[in-house]
This record gives sequence, C-alpha cells and structure tokens, in this order.
Amino acid sequence: MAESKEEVDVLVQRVVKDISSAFKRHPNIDEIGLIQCPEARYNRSPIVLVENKLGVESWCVKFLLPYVHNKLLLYRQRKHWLDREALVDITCTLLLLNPDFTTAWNVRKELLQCGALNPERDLYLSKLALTKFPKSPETWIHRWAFSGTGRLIHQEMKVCSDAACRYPSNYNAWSHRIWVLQHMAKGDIKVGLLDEAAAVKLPRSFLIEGFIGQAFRVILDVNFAFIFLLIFFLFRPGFYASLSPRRHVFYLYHHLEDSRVDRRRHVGVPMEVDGVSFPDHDSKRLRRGGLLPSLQNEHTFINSTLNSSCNPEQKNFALVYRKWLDTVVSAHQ
Amino acid sequence: MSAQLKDVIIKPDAPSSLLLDKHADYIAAYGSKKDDYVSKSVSSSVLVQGKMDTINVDKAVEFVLSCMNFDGGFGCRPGSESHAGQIYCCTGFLSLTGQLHQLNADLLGWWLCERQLPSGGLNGRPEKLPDVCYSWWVLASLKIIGRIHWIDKAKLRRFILACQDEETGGFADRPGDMVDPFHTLFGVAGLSLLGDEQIKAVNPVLCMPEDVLQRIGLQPDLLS
Repeated sequence: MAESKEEVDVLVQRVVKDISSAFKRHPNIDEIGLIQCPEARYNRSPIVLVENKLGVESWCVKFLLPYVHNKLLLYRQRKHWLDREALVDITCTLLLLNPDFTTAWNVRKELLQCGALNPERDLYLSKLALTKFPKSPETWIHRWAFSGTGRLIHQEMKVCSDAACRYPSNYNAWSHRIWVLQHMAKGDIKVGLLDEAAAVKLPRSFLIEGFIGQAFRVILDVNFAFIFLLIFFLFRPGFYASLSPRRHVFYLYHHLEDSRVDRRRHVGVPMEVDGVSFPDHDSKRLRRGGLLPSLQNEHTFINSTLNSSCNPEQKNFALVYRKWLDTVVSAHQ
Repeated sequence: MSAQLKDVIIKPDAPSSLLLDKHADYIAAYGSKKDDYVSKSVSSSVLVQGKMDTINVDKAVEFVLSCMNFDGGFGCRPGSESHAGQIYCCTGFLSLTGQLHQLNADLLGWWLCERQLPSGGLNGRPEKLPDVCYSWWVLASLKIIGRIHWIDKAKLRRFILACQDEETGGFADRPGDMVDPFHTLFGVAGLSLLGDEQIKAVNPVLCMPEDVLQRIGLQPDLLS
C-alpha cells in the first residue's frame, strides 16, 4: 500500500488523471458514487466505470481528498501554481468527493469568467454531484451563476425532480425550483402550470405544500386572469387529490382585492392550456355551480372529505386545511 | 405528513406543576461551577445595542431578507431550509432594526404554529421531535409577529412542565431526559411568555426581564 509521500503524490496524480480520462472517453456518465472497498485489491485504478456510472473505491479517498484539497488551497494562497487544465481536473475531483467545498466552485466560476471553462461542463458536473449529494447547498447555489445562459427550463426542473426523489423532503431542491420559476420561467404561465402540475404527483409533504403555494404566487403575480383556470382544475372533484394547492388558491383569490374589476372582465375570455380551450360557458358554470372559493364552500368541502372514504393522509390534510381557515383566514374576517 | 408522526408521549406521572424552588436551587448550584455563558450572552446583547452604529445596518437587513424562504421562514443562508432558531434570530434582528414590516406575518405565523405536535411540544422544523428550547425560539418569534394566540397554549404548557426533573430541578429537552441550564432557561422563559404569573414577564426579542429593559429604556418593536 502506498504510504510514502512520493508514492501518495504519484497515486493521487494518477487518480485525478483517471477521472479526467473517464469523462473524456465517456461523455454520458450520469451518476457518481463511492464503492465500499477498504483496501486496494490489486494494483489497479480505484476509478471504476460501469454502464455510465462512475465509481470511486473508498480506500483511495483518504489519500486523494486531503491532497487535492491542500493543492487547491495552496493555489488560492498563491503558494503553488496550477495551470487551467490542472485546475479544472483538480476542482472536478474535489467536487465529486465533497461538493460543499465553496472555494472549488468559486475557482470554477473564475475559470468560467475568463472563458477557460465551458458553462455546459459546469452544469454537467453539478448535476452529477447532485446524484450523490442531492441536498448539497453549494451545488444548488452554483447553478444560480448560470442565469444568463440558454439552458432549458425543463432540464433544470428534471435536475430538481431527480434530486427531490433521491432524498425525502429535499428542501434545497424545491427551493431551487422556485428560483427557476422566478428567474428562468419569468412567469411563463404555460411552462409554470404544466411543470408544477407534474410536480404535485410526487409524495406529499408540508414542504411540497409550501412550495406549491409559492409557485402559484410566482405564476399569478404575472397574470391574474389565470386564477379561474386554476380554480377550474383544482376544484373539480377527483381531478386533483391534494388540498394544498386549494388552500393557496383560496388565499390568493381572497387577497386579490384590487383586481376584482379585472377578474370580471377576464371571465369571458377563453383560457387555453396545451391546446385545450376552456370556453366561456365553463367559466359561467363555475359561478353558477357555486364553485368559486368562499369560506362556507370550503368548510363544506372539508366536511365531505372527512366523511368520505379517502385515505388517512388526505383526511389529515383536510384537518390541517380547516385549522388554517380557522387560524389564518378568520383572523382577517 | 408521514404515517408515523415523530413526537413524544407524556406519561401520566410527568410533572404537571411548576417547581420554581427546585429550579432556583438547580441554577444556584450550577452557578457555583463557574459556568458563565448565560451572563456572557446577556452582556453581549447589551453591547450590541450600544454599538449598532458600527454595523452597516442596511446591508445586514438586505442579507437577512435574502435568507427569507418561500414558506415565510429563514435559513442560515439564501436557499437554506427554514429553521426555528434562524427564524428567531432574524425576527429579533428585524425588530431591533425596525424592519418587521418586511415579514409576511401570516405566512411565517402559520409555519411557526405548525411546529406544535400532538404532545403539545414544539419542534424546530417539520418531521422533527419536539424540544423545550423551541418553546422559546418558536414562541418568542410568534410573540414578536403578534401571532402567539395561534398556538395551543394549554398543551404547550403541559409539555414544558413535563420536561422538569422533580428531583434535581431544571428542565430537559424533552420529558425524561437529563436537565441542563440551556433548556432550563428556555423552559422558564417559554412559560413566562405563556403568561405564568409566578415568573417575571420576559421580553421576546432580547430574552431578558421586561423590568430590566424598562429601566434602561429599551422597547424593541413588536407586531400586533
């Protein structure tokens, strides 16, 4: 086993090169991970590549991480020079092992600024880091640096969803989703609605409830007319299981005092989502059927949910919704 | 909401009345161990009060507000998860700098009152166990934003009292655990905020007796 300083140096430099070569030869690597392997078995590289998954054997980490960490800090302190390619390789290695090392991300930001690094490569690296570290705050924050690039919103939402699925109640992933809605979608209603309708199929939690509320706020800030579209979707029995968005729509509807006149004017305008039109008669039906949100309607809805045979989780949400109506909404009556 | 809700169960023989004399003895005995971190925190907050002009308050407010999340709470840095301890620091800060109007009191108040679990205790964020120190972080925050009535006070009081140790005095983080001065302070302070008449009124922003603050003429903002 390598123990002398020279042997460690040689080993580490080889491993960093192996990682760099792996990415060059296999541009489709989509996941990284640590392979539990306490000792080096044979005289071969600890970097393992199987079906687009990149693994690092755990025995080498205790040599690798301190070495590259130290090298980067020496560079930062101007005590050791590293050329651009070496910086790219070293930061890549570092961030795949510990993506919350802010300095490494900042070095990459500098490389981006001077054109020595392709933005796509950085987005790819952070996406990979999130496969192993789905909460990593510094990785999510690094993605904010790319607001000016032409990356697709759907791709960004996929990164969020994948990370949210990898870790329960992944706050940072949902927080990033809000960032995308605010800074990338910039209130593009169609994108916002469709993506968020898909998002709510994920497991229920209060975190997601809070996120959905904020998502609606972001969307509705842009165009008040769509509140009727949302009401139509959400209040139709059986279409939408969750009570969380209903609560937020209720709150938003009753806080749009200023736009009452606008709302009436927009009711007659057909809405369109994904090619499906909602003609005027549907809006009139909403009003006739008493489907617009009032406190009484909501309490009736809650009681029918509680008395129905739906699952305990849904009943819990109904109770929480009732508590919210009694606590928060009643305070303003 | 998971099927297995994380919470504690309060046993029927848990303490149900305030054992003030026991707590006084506990703190007195602890003070003799030359552990003065409580007095340090008190003096440091007074020091900050006297030296506000040495900080760039506008920049500080800007940073604190950048840590506000979509649920109305605050994390330790932009994008971080809302946490009751952070929320207390930020609401206290916004009170001291006269910026409470920047909060969404309904949104934050709702997040805070949702910390209350069936046992009556408060946790620091969703899916966590209750802890008596959150009787302070959460309750004081609610008091600052004028929504303390959104908590079930009787249930919380029952939880706090159950955290006492009848033999040694002092409060633990939850019923049956070991006591320490940290949780004793926040248990007592929480009870004060809940209106216990045996305890002096405590200021929610600075965690100091109101009469002390009145003496030095300090009354931080609160929302109604």
